[in-house]
Amino acid sequence: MTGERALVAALKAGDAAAYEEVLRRFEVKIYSLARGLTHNEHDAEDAVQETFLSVFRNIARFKGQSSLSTWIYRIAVNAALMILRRDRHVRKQVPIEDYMPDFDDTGHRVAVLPDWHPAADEVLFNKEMAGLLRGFIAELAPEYRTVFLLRDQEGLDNEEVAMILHLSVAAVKSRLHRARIYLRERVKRHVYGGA
Amino acid sequence: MRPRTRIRDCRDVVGLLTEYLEGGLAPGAVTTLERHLAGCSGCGEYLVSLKKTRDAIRRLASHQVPDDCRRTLRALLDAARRGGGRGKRAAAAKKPARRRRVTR
Repeated sequence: MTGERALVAALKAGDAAAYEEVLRRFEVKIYSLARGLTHNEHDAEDAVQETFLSVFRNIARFKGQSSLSTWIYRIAVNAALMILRRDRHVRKQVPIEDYMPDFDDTGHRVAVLPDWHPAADEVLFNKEMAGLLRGFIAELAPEYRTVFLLRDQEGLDNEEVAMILHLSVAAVKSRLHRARIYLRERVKRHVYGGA
Repeated sequence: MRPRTRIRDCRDVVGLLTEYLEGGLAPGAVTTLERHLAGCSGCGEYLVSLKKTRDAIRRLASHQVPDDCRRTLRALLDAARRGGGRGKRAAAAKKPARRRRVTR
């Protein structure tokens, strides 16, 4: 079963193979996204289960106005954000403005710390540090974290992320840019012992 | 017609680096930006570190779905698929109680 239209038709008909096919295509992606958004294994499992139950319960109403992938990602984001709202207290979020670069009156950048350090590369490229990076991502406010994960982790393009999140493409680009700047600065400050 | 991109100083350049890395800038803007990068080591290094950060995230491995999550998911969906309206309730009933939060 390769074509999306055929897959959707089979899902609507309750075909067991179609259900399995959707899981095969999307469960790792949706679980990874949910882990990134919730930063918690059990919350991610809840979000994944909510997502696929919702997909299969509502497939009859899917009109094909977006791709199946866009629709499933949108359900997953909503499920994970709902869990985040429920557990609002659990993790600190950083004010992203604190990580944006400063410029002087002539438009030149003012770096508080030396700009980059070889040890920062170690944080980025050492597999042992993956958990640290994921923790930094989890400190982003959800509106940035969602865009960042969909673009840089899931590899979706700006247009698809905009459709999933009901944002303009310009807003997606802006949030992605600020999220990347934050993460770069977060890694740097970690290396210099600032945070 | 795409509006002309203003590139006067480091502030403008840094603001465009993600768009530049994604190949989204107009050719004229790329030329102006690269001219700035060639003469400004600070912005050049900033670009390199931003690219490294992006590449590191892209290399993060996907999380593996835990086996018990896979099993539960399939049981839920099987119940939903078989039961129609009743299956929805059956699926909801089968859903395991939410576990206590452990470590982050």
